[in-house]
Amino acid sequence: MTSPRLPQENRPTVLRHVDYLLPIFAALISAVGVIMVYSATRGPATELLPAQTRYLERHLTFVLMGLVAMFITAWIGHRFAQRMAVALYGGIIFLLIAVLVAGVEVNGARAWFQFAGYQLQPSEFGKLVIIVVLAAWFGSVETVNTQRLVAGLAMVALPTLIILKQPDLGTVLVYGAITAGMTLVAGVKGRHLFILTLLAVTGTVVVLQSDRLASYQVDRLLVFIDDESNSGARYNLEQAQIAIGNGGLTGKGLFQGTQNNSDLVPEQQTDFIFTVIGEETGFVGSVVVLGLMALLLVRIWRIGQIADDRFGLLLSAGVFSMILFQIFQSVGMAIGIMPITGIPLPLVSYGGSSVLSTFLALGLVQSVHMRRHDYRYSSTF
Amino acid sequence: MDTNSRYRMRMLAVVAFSLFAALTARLWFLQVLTGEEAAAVAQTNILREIRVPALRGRIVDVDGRTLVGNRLTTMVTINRRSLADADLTSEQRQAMLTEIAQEVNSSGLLLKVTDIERSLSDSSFGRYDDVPIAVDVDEELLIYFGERPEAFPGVKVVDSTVRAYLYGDLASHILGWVGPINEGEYTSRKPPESKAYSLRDEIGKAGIELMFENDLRGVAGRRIVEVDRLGQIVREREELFIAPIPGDDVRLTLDINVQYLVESELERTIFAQRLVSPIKEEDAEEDPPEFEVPGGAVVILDPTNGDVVAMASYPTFDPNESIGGFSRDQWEALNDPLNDLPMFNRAIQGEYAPGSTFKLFTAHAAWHEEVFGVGMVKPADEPWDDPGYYRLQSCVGDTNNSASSGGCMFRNAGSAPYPQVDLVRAFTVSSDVYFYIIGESIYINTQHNETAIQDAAEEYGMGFETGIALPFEQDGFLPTPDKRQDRHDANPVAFPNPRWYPGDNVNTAIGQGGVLVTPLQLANAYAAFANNGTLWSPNIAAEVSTQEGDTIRTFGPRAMASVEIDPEFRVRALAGLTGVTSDEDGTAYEAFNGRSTGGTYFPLEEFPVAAKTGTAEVRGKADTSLFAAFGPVENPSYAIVAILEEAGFGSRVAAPLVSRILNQLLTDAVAVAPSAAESYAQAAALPLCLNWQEWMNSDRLSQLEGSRSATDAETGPVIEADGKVRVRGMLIECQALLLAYGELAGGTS
Repeated sequence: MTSPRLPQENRPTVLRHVDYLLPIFAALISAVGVIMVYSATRGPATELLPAQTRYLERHLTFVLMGLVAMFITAWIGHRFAQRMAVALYGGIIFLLIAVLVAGVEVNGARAWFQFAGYQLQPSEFGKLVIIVVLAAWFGSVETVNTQRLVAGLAMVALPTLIILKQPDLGTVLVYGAITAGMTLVAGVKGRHLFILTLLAVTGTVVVLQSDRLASYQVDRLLVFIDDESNSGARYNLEQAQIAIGNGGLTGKGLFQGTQNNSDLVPEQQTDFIFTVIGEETGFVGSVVVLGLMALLLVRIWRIGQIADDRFGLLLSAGVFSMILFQIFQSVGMAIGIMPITGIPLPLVSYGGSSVLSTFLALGLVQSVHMRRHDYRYSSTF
Repeated sequence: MDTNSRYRMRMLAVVAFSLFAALTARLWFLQVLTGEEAAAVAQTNILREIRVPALRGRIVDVDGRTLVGNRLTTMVTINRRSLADADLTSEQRQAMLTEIAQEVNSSGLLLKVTDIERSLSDSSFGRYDDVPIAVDVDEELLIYFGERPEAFPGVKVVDSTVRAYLYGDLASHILGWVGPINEGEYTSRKPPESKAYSLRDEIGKAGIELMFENDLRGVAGRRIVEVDRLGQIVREREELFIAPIPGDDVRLTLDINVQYLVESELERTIFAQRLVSPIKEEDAEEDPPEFEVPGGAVVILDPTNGDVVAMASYPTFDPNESIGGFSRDQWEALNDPLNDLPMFNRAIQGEYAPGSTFKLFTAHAAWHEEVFGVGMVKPADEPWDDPGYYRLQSCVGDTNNSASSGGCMFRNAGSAPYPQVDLVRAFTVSSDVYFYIIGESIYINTQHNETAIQDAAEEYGMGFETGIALPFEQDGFLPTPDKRQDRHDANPVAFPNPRWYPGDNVNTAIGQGGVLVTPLQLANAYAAFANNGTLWSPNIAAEVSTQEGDTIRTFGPRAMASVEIDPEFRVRALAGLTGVTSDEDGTAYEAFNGRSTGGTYFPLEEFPVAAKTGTAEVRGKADTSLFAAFGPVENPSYAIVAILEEAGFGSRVAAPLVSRILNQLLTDAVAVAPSAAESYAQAAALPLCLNWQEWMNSDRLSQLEGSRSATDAETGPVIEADGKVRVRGMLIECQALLLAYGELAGGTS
């Protein structure tokens, strides 16, 4: 047996260093997602109302598209993305502005393009662009000085402000998490980090105080702190926790969750998908799912660690931060330790844009792994 | 390369590790530590209990014919919350309600928008309830409203089970009616635990429906369903279903055919008597009061066991109108004195002066108190001439001074003299003077008990409730010197005179002067005399049984007391009472031996009838017409009392009525009672039948045009050339119908 750590000389150059575990974990998590989306959307499945498969079919399509997109991205490579950073940035700014003008409004946020029965959410792909742009910007120097830091933050601030206009608070928070993770890894000075933290806190308060956010969004955020603020939001939170608690140690069994079947938790195929996992597979299943996600994160983290260029390292750190924050926020919201704000659980929640952008990110990370010895064989770049 | 960044990547790993640790810890808390509590909440969260109301038990007559049952009906309801959520402007709302009212009206039911608004504002319904606004609507409304839920938010057309009073207004006072439980009933009623009420349950409001509520009411079942967060039913947990247990059936002692006979004869008599003008006496100064005949009652008891065979009260009401709740107008009309209080059961609630029918008990008192042959009172068998008037022995001073005791002079009706009157003949001809003497003597002669008459009446069950299983029964009243004093002491303004005069006793002796009895009491007293002394507590219910027919309780004869009747007295009283119908001088001879007063040629040889007429004076109004009878004399099977308000002589009105009823009863000629549906069909067929008869009697060929072969089978009655009418799936024979109405017309003329 040949060690996977050693170069596979008999293969094409790029395929010699493929990380097989990364797509395997991603595929496993996606499989869980497909089942859970089906469970959340099949309906009561009585004689009168047979199980609904519309969401299942669409979600399955997204996952397959995502897998293909991941391989293509890995093939093309992250270096190409690095070279295209400026174009990508310009493109996403254009799309984000365009969606404000020509997008459709769903649940109070104008964040989607609608075409042929499918919706496209540019801000989901914006996450990826932010990662690429920041990785390129911070990765081109060994140490990040104040000017570069401020310029980098300004690059993030522009799309963030546009997204706030939609408004889509959840995505903004993800942008914040990505930025925080990447600036940390990029090597920002301690006092800069301290100032950034202060700025983030002040920014949050200002945003909450201003009327930029719709009142329901403030309510949903505040219910986490103050139980009296909004009965509707509190109801969602209560029902979500009852659903998860109802799962107990081993769960109610697949498709047997009463909270799920009675549709007591809203947005159960997207933001609250974890309540289905919790209710139907119990503590054991939840930990297994979280474990799979942790393994995926470990792979990403490891790829960052062994990356041979700063761009690849920062890229991995950005994807790591993005997925980590989304998991923590989405699961934490369902179990009541994070405020309610709509963020999909990566690879699990229903939604084409989210699934696609996550697979694209994993494709980039894979590319970092595949091409980590490029310097050894080629001096171009 | 960049070791600093790799080092910092470890910080990210630490953050990730702690975040996952936090998630896992919280999951452990939620799912393992407090999972059971959440599971319990999750259960109640989604399970809803829906009461399944139980069918109410039936009420059947003595032969098991269903009088009150249940039927399916279609009902329009509006859900208040859905209506409110629709956010209609007041114009839109008005337009919608108007359209609903129009649609309901087109199915033949009168419904106004204001009625709907009133139903919707009924505070007994909760915010989320479906409020019924119309019952018995056309099933097609289901399609009309069901297909356009967006145009009629919250409007539903549902099937529901309601009470059905199959004989319409027949026996309505006995059967009673049901309605939604009110707050007073909800707090005061103590039903068996399994039959506990919930708001808006139906509850018996009167009659048997009220008295046997706990038997008739079933045990509600329940369905357990899972609902979603909008309250929509997701699925039913059939394993948790508990079937409702229908209520028990109540079998009455009543015979619905006899009841029909009695009610129709009573109504006919009342209608006929209203057309009669009172005869003005020659010496009278003013016109006598008109025969208004606002109401009347007839009671038939079985003297052998106290069973109520029939009990009629006029006017009546149709309990079917209570389905879905009486409208306010209906309710006011039913309780308006101007309409003679149709819901008032005169048979047990009406209190009337018994007049001469009371003489039986005066005579009983006199005989057993050994009044005959003492003082002014001649021995019972010694005939003497009644001059037609009586001057009180105790009267001092001016005989015409009425200031002290209402006068000293008491007269027979029309001051008629009756020669050669003994006890027997005093009954037969109804000599008042004969009983005046007894009445005064009992009071003034110190060797007699001064309240002997009242005591005897009490022995026969008057002055207190008979204990029949019907609500709101009245006591009647037997005035005595003590009671008069008590009344005065309690309320000197209303009862200024505390004293009892000999004249009062004289009035009491002939059932006047404040003596009040209910028709049932009087019938029960005569029944006690008829069966030689057993005073029953009358039974209206025979038994309670389950839907499967298993008897739960039976109500056998309930003897209240027994009256000592000296056979010597009974022979004489029987002879006198029998003479009332059979002796040519008897007050009811005409009624039982001819048709001139509306009576019958009664087969008295076969079925001798003992009876007593009564004509009770009521100040300012026409006399109350009374008749009490039982027969056959030897082994009586019926005791019957008829009382008609403001109708004149007992011999002219009540006696012929009883004669007709008893004639058909004793000769087994009682017709079958028509159900409400049949009554409707007959009424609808009658005009067609009259046309048909005219056509039959005329030259048929030349009038073939007149033979209308109506084709509108959907809406109206259809007649065929052979005289058969079809109405709502029922076949009416014109010949039989016209015969019945012809008989009717002949009977009242």
